Amino acid sequence: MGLDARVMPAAPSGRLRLAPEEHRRLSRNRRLKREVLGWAFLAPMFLCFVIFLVLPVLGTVWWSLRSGGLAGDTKFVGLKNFIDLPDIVGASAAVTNTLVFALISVPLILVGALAIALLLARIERGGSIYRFLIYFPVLVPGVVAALIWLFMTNVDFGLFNGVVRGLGGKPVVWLGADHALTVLAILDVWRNVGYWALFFVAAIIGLPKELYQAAELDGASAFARLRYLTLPLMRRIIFFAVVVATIWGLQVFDTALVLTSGGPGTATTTVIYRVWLYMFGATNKIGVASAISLVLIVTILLLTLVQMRLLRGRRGGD
Amino acid sequence: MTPTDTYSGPAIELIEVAKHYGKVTVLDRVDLTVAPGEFIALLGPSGCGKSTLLKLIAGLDELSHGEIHIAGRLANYLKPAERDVAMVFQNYALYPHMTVRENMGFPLKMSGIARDIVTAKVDEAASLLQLDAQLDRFPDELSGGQRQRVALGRAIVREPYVFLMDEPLSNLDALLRVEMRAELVRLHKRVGRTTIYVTHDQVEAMTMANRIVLMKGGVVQQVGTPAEIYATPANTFVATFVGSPPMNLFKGRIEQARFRGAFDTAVPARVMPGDVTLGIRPEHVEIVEAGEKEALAATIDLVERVGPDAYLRLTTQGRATVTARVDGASRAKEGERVALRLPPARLCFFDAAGNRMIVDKEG
Repeated sequence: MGLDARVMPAAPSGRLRLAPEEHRRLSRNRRLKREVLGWAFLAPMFLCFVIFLVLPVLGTVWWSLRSGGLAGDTKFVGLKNFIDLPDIVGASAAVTNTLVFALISVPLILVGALAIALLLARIERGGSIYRFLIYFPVLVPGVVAALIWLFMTNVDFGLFNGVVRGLGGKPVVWLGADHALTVLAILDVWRNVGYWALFFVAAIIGLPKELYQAAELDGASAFARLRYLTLPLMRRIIFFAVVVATIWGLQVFDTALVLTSGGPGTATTTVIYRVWLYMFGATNKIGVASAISLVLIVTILLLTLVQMRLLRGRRGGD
Repeated sequence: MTPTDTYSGPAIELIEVAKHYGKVTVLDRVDLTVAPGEFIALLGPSGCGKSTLLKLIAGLDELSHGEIHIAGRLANYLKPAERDVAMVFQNYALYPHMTVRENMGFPLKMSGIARDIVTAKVDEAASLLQLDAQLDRFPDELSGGQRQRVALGRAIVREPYVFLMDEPLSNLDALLRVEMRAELVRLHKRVGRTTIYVTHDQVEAMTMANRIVLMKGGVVQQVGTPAEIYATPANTFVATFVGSPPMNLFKGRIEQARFRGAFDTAVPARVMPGDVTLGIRPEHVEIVEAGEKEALAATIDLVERVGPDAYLRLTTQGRATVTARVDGASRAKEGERVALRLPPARLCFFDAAGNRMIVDKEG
């Protein structure tokens, strides 16, 4: 017979060929090499992070403690810029405008993006064409988008009023004090809905097909599948989108500058627009601009922390 | 009362069921009648169309041609939920964000059943499947076997007319698979519902099913009980797919009640002369004393020991390769010269193309 039953002898102790210290030294060397290589790969990113993020933020902190303008002398004033913030010109209007803007645009963007994504995910042929069309506004620079909307909202020859007239209505002053902020928010929806739609499409396509087949067999209607499967399974992604879209919403600036120049009056003056005014406008108070920026940075940081805390849960659902 | 309560005909009838994707035929005119309470295994290699057939029955895919009748009703145009079938998926398809209780109760909740009845039914199924302690856990907190049971539970609570199972044991380790196999058979006996079970594992099909539907390339090769499929394979594909090691096949001619090919041996007198493929199961190949009547000289090329059995790979003088299954305690050695005999009563015959068995009642 070819195979004899053999029992492997147990290895006697004390037969290692290297001393334990030598094992420790070699293992330490190996770890060190890996660490050095890892840091070498990370170094360029850290360099960029320091140059383009840490240093500017530190600069902002430094400037926020000083009075004066971009040009000319500045002097240290301590926390005065922060203490005076609530009383500075247009502060409350800027905060209110920004919040209203975010409250209009963020829900519309995300609900719209989710609806579009659900439709896009179902398209079997020609999906890429629709995806491109939906994504196209994202590729348009903010300034160009604002110029397009400047034409569309023109009282006399704009597309919007053309439609209103066609329906027998009276022309609307879209960029007047009543509607300007809403138009600005809708423009933001137009620009960003495609981005989040594609983001959601990727998530929806990644959901396991079997779950939907099982749900179909279990008697779940299309609405029930959305309610009990898609939304709970996408909970983390939707939540991430809410936070990021809100952060972006709080930073609206370029379209406000081109479309309405913050007006009429202060109707569309947002927080960042106010920063820009203090920085480069007639008032030229770099300290105040920096102080507002810092408050915004801290607000966004807090939002991010809340997001991270809430996303720490283990499952996608509930 | 559901329409199925008073029905007494076949549970499922498939009439010329076909599925094409463009020019590719995945299923080619499948006919099958399943009796109520029967356990049918759809067996075949990957890509043979067995899972597609299951999805067509479930209503998860549309058929290109034919009719599917479930409990006497034409099911072609019914939604999956209206077919009164429940399905267990290969990867279980448990809802990851729902607890075991919510997963099992989901189909009942969707059909608008009152919450207390849902709770009672889920509790009952959980106790049947020994899942009582896991009801508040999430799927990712369960072992493979437990997940498998939850998937079964979700199917059971609905009390469907038909159970469809798509390779439900293939993700389990070997030991657990054997355990769950027995559990599924017990469950089938207890619940007594018609079950269609897709598998590529012949052992599962042979041990669990009342009847096996063996498929290849979208075509049904044979329908029969496990014993029929094993003893009287309809063609060489069935002969080699079922049985491990597979049946030995040799091409040759029948002349004057003898097989003449790589070797020469007696066959039953009733076998018609002509070109044939001769088959014999490895366990029917006899190792005999040299010089015995009809003995063929051969050399042992390889001995594979698998515990209770040993598989001998032999080469005859005419260069035919024969596999023989012998007792695991056999002292056979590689390179040894032996004699083997192919008992005429154990031989199977296929036509030259290997597609149709030549019926030979003596063999």
